[in-house]
Amino acid sequence: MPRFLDRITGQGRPPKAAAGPTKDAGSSRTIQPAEYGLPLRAELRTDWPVDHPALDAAVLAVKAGDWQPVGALMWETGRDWERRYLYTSILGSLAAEDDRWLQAWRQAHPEDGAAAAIEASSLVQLAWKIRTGDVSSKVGREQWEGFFRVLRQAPERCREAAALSPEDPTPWVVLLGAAKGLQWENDEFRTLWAEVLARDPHHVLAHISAQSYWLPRWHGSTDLVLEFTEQTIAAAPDGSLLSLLRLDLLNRELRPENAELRPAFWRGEQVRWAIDEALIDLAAADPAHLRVNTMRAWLAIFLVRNERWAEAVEQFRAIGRMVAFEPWTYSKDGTSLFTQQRASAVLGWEAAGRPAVPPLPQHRPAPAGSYFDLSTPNPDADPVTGK
Amino acid sequence: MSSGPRTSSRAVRAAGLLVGFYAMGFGLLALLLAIDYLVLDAGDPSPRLVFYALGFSALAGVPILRGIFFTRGNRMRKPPGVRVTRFEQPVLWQRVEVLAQAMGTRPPKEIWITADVNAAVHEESWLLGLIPGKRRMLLGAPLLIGLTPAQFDAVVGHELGHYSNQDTRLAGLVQRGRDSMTNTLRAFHGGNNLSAALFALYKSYAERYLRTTQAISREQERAADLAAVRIAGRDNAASALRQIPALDAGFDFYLGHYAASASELGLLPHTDEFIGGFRHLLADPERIEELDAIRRDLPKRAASPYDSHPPMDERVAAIEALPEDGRGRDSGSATEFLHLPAPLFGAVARSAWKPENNGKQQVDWATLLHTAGRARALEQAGPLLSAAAVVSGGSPTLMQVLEVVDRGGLASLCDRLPEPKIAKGTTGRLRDEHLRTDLGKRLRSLVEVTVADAGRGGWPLSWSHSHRFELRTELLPEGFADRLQPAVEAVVAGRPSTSQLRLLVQQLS
Repeated sequence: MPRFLDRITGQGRPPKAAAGPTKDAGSSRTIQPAEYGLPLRAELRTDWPVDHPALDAAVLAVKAGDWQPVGALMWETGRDWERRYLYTSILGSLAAEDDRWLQAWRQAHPEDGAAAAIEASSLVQLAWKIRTGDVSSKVGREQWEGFFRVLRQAPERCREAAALSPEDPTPWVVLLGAAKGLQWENDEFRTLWAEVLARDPHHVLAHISAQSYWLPRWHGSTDLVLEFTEQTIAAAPDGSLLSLLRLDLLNRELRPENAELRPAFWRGEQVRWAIDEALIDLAAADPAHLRVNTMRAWLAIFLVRNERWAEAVEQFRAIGRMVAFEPWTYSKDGTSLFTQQRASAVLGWEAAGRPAVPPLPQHRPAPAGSYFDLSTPNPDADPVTGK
Repeated sequence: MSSGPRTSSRAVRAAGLLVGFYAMGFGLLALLLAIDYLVLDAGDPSPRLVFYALGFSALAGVPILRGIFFTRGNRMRKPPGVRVTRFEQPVLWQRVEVLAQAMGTRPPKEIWITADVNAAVHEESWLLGLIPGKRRMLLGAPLLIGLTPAQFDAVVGHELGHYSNQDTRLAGLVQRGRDSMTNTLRAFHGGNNLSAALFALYKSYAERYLRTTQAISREQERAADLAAVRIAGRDNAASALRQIPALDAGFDFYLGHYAASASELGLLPHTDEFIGGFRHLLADPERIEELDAIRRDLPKRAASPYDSHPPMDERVAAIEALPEDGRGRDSGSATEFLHLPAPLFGAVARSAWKPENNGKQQVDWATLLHTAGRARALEQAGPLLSAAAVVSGGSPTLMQVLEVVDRGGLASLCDRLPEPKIAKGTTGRLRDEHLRTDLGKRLRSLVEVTVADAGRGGWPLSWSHSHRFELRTELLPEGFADRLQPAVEAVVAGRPSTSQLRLLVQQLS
């Protein structure tokens, strides 16, 4: 996973991948956040993506070996699947360190689907800890052996959890991550994906996970991942936030390999269009949607790259002090990335004479010949101009 | 060589340095003698002073004498390998003589076949190479196996070329001098403080010499490469250079994974096959691919400032940049120059190995590799068996291991195994899983030994893969092979279960 964010921070290959105009501003000059109504770095919330006292209490209890507050938290979460998955993975990561509290819970309530799903999630996360996030050539033989050995145990646990709470997509979303590591065939993966969609057609994190399976570096191709992304967005109503998949894909896969071509790419027409579509999606979203901040963060990064300073500052203001979520967390030092991008946005906005935020754009078709114009046969023609 | 005059003047300087080296040694000796004389000649020397003076002379004199007389190198006295006469190997001798003639130098007096990947011509010269001596050619058996006839010509032609006086009268002298200097440096390694101090003196002198002569030497190398191209053709000369690192790596691998793989168990291949078996590895299609990778990308070696050879990749590039000569690449093996190669290689093997090898049993390859594979697996399983015996107080068997796991003892087994490197410094579940992965591998080995001992699997001879366990599926129930690894993993899973593995083991009897 960290590799994926390396590409934003410029730590991955090729070197110096940072966004063109932000680099100067971010690295040589700083801002006083308070002057712009923004929280100070020290005020940022860097542990969990949501501000929820019951979650904090549950985490504290787990560290003391007590599972009961977790049980209460999961019960209270109910059918908010996006949130349920989020808590499952947070608690799964704690259980990947030490699972004695979880085993106690499982023993006390063997029929509790939430506990079973957390157990499955912890197994998948444990496997990835063994593998580490290094590029595959740097992963040692023993790491691979341990990774596969542990990961192979995950599908059974996911199915067990799914049997305990048949309506809950969570175990199936956990299984997506296992399937990617276990190199499932495309058709087998599609069958699994259908189980997820049947339970929650607009689960944002499930879509991010599935999109990564379809990347060329995993088990798909550029065509397959574009098809997945565009079909998903086309089928989803505005407000689902799923158009963030397009921004993620531009960042991870579609941007030019050559770092020198990137500033032009980021300022280009297809990026402008993808941002506009995402802004429309965001405007229609429930402000309480758990993934609103993820969308805002992607937009903030892209708006800076696209040099739309006023809109970028607007997103940073809306994000406020929460930073422990994708895409910041893909980076080893997400907080620094956040403050650096925020400073770039503010400095750009100042340099442009503090322009006002333009009105919300309208839906329009993808630029002809761009990656997203699927009617054109060869989208690889010229990634810079989109022609 | 166009830079003839300059090279010659450098060669003269080199010769001067050689004389100086010699003079330095004798001068130091003379100094020691003079001190001793003065001490003894004094009116009434105290016994202690005499003792110290003579003691010091002895301590200092020995390394100095070694410096002077060991320049010929210990290796020269008793070369490893087997000496072959003109009568025994007429074709080989004739080939070498033709090559020597083509290089314009005299042929060697002796030819020795050795057990390493090496070809060299040494000369037992006198006075640091100032006076030429007996010339001896060493040819590695693995090279004869792995080079084509034309590649052999290129390699041997190149080696003889070092002594060729075609280009400069003193070049042969320089080569001999360099050999002597290197031998001196080698002879001085180790020893007491005094020899360390003298070594520093000799070392700086020898380094000076090696630096002075390096340019000459490199020019000679290039000239020798060009001569090799003339004799063997461009493509054969280049491919010979690419082949040598491949043979080097390949032969090392062959010894470790095949010929000597069961040596510690008291088993060797038949003598004639000990070195000769290398040809099977070289002929294997999958190994050819691996060796091709080495031939394609020459290993990058940091060139020592005293190395007479320009870097290998430069040499190959220089040869490959020459115009096409239409001579192409030949095929076959230089062993065709040998009369009865198999017993010859057998004799070479015996000359190279340690005396204790003579007492070892000689077996065919299949037996050797099966035995080595089983021993390796048992070695891997050993700590697990002992751990199970300690934890349960029972016998060290597979069933006992499973028994312990069934009684909830997986963690205590893990704790009794040597800590795998990957687990060092880890904690919590990550550590537990690293230990379990390690235990799983040992368990797998134990199961393999069990299956092999039941006659349902083993470590068959394969030149493509070494030490790979294979099931004899024709003797096993349907699906056994697919169920084996999952059954092993189930034993070390988060919720350990031994039932699948027990079922499979039952099917063996």
